[in-house]
Amino acid sequence: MMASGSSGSRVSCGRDLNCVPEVADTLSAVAKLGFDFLCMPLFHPRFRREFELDPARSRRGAQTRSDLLLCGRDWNTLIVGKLSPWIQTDSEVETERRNSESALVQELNFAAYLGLPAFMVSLKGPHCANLARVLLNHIHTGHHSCMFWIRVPLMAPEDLRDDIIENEPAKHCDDGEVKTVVFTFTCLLLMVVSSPNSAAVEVGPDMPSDAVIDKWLGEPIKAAILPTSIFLTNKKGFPVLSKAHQRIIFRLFKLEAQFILTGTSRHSEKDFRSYLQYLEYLNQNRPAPNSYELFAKGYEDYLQSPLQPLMDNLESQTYEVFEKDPIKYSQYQQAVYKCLLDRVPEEEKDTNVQVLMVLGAGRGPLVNASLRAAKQADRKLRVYAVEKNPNAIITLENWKFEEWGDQVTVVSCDMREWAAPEKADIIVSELLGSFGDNELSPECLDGAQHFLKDGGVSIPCSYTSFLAPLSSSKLYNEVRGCRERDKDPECHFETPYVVRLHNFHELADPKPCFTFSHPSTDMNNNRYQCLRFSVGCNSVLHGFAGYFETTLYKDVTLSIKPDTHSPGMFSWFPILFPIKQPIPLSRGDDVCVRFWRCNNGKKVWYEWAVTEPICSAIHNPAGRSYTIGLQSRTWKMNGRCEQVFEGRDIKMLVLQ
Amino acid sequence: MSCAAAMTKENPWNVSPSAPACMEKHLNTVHYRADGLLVLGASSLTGRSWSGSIWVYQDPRQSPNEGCCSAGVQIEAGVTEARWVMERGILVASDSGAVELWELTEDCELIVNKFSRHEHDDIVSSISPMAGGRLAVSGSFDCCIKVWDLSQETVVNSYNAHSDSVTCVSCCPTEEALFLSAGQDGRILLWDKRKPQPATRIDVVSPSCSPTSLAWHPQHVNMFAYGDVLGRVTLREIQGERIQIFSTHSRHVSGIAFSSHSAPLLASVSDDCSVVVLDTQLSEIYRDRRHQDFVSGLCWTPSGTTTLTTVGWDHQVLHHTVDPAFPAPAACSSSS
Repeated sequence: MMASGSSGSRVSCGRDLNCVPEVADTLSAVAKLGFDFLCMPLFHPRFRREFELDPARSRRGAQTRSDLLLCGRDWNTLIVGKLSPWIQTDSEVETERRNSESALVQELNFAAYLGLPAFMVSLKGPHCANLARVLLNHIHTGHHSCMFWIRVPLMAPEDLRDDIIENEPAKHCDDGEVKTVVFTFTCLLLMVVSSPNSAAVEVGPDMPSDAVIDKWLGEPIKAAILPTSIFLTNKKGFPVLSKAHQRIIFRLFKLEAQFILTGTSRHSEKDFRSYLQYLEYLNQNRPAPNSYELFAKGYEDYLQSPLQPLMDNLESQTYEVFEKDPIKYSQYQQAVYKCLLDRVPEEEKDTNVQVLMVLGAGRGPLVNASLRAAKQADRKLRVYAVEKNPNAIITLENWKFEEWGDQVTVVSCDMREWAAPEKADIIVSELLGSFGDNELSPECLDGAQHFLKDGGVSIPCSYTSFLAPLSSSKLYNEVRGCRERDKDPECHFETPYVVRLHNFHELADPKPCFTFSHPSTDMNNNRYQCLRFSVGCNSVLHGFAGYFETTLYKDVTLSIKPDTHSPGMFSWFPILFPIKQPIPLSRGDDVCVRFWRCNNGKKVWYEWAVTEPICSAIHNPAGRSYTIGLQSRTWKMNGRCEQVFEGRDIKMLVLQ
Repeated sequence: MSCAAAMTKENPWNVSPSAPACMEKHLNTVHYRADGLLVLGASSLTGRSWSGSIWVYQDPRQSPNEGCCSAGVQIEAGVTEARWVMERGILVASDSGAVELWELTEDCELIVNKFSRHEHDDIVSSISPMAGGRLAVSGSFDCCIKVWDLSQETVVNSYNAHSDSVTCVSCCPTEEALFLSAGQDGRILLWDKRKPQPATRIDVVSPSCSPTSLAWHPQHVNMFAYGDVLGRVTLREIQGERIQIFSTHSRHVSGIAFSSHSAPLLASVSDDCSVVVLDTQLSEIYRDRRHQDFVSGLCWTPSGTTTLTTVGWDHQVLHHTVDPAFPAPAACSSSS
């Protein structure tokens, strides 16, 4: 049951009940309707318990029903327990608080005894520090496999009230956002120490603003609770959802959230099953993923360390997947085409032979793109294909023998060691990483600049990295999980990760960070940038998303920055720079972050620090946790490798 | 069934043929009809089955003996409240989220279902018939308050004004449109369902302390009493400043009721397992500790007598004789 559905599979949906007179009967009835699991109280919701005062303290007999009423497997897989609603661990009334604490422990222990897969705790108000403490104590004492679902309404209960109290007008909805966010804070911040907790979001009849929804989608949403009251009735009497609700359901599908239906049947002439059937209908008719989403399937929020072992010789399939990017090479072709037209006037088209060098030719996609561009432009071209992988050279030599002929010279050599026989009009390379310069394209192209003619063109001619602050407990926990035994306990927070960002909330629009242009007169590739973002809502800062844009030639560009992303291009996932300590942000706070690009002649690395609203540590000082080696023999393949390998894995996934 | 029928023929106590064999342990509610007929609501809050039932006794002293009931019926789920309405109606608030109307047959031997409507999304915690008996108000853990038209069997108004469970609703004994509600969100609301903005918030003394039970003064429309989580009983004017607070209990006040005397006594029951009666000056004139578990329901016998009946989760029905003229110190002065 707990296995979450992936695209195409059926939606996993449970039934939430507050009244379960007979547990086995109810469970089989719920299963018969087609539900995958049942959320129910473990103790009768009205069965208040006294732990201090006699005579009620010595109440005799069983406190709830026996575990023997269901078989172990049913408890382990089909039942999600719910905390009794009277338990108020954060009550200001001391006796109430103490009794609640004892009852909470009792219910948690019984849930553990039953071996439930999950236990649901509702947050009703903003005060939940004591609840969080008791929960954490429970989690840390004992070996529980139970997950905790923290049930939070999408909007604060105060905002869900009808505005019918004469002397207490309903609060302004902006205020509601603040409060909703405060909820998450107090609890999820405290809970961040233990990863199995996730949020179960209750969707109400009124939808919060997009900003609030975006914020929510940065939380580790495991389940969405759908009250029957949010369903409308269509002409035939069946339950349906409004467009706004459908949109959030589709977004929840993408997060692979499970659904829980709560509330009484409001379409009583229809079977209760019709709610479930409608969700399944939405699931089958969800908007088709685009090619990027298909490609990235299975890699959502999956961290890939840019520090994988260097691979000298990429495999053939790796190149193959890479060459399948529908956008990248056609953009390169367009760039070369425009460049040739600019450099060679019509009257010289038969006499002027442009020298074009492909630096890092691989199996030749850029060579082909350049040749196509020359044909398209009707210009003459002489190509050097420089590649250091001797296996790929075999492919290149075969291309040359069968297709290219003398027009192309294949050079089996590291480009930095190559003594070029002539200077180039155009150099073409694809050395960019997710953060633009993070695969050392600047150092590489600077090293090759001596065989570029004066007035020669580099494609790409410039690239800029971008940064945006983000909130994502999911990613923060993923990074924390990267801890390795023999390494400094915090070094994984000083490393960027290539990741398909999925369960996150971008707190502000990306801003440009480092720019490099080629050819360049300034060979100093160190950089320092201070970026300031104003954050529009209360949230928690967990790190920074990195993107890049590049100008290949004039108006021909590639981008992975969300608002300008080249449609359908999947060669790069974004990069994530984590921070060690999440920083709570209030609406209106400015986030100020400083990024450095450093170089000691042997290695290049980044350092980063948040300086507002509070100062973080400087991350990765002197490159102690993460560097990109300049002197590695295979340095220029460094960043590329993991991208390519990632591509290979994805291909296997797509083919399955 | 033939066997059961045969048994009832032999039955010396003339047990109602439809009554269940056994009453659930946790008694939640007790109410007298004007002629002294008693209705009892029971739930099972532990064990295998979390069911409920209602029972009618002509002789209240015989309750909760199943064998001596006039009529009884099994309900789908636990019963939080059962109230007399109109002549023979019994209004039931159920754990299932249903509001149910049952009717006692004229010979008082059968209770038949008039309707069961699952309109609430969670346990119905409280129900109160409005003056006139045509309408009733229910409050639920789902934060909603609903006004019911009993003859039409429908909900006529649904209000979502509390941000947490509604713990109690109480209708004005004289004016049809007025009622009070209390919630775990700390609010007490006065409702006038004729107004476009029907609710008015009434300040409570300490905002951190949720009200748990309400009772409207039988004679003064402008006066009501409420109990809270701290165990305090407060008597206050709806419009006006007069407030009297008495720290009566050491736990959650689960029920509160005015007697029908000309100078009404105020009785309260609590999770501290005690029963307390206060006089008009809010001084304690009676306290009883015989209940061995939470006391959950209370009702004064009708027509100005001085007997208070309380029920609890210890399955006891206790009858307390309280004489306002002779304040008794904490001793129990009742017969059972």
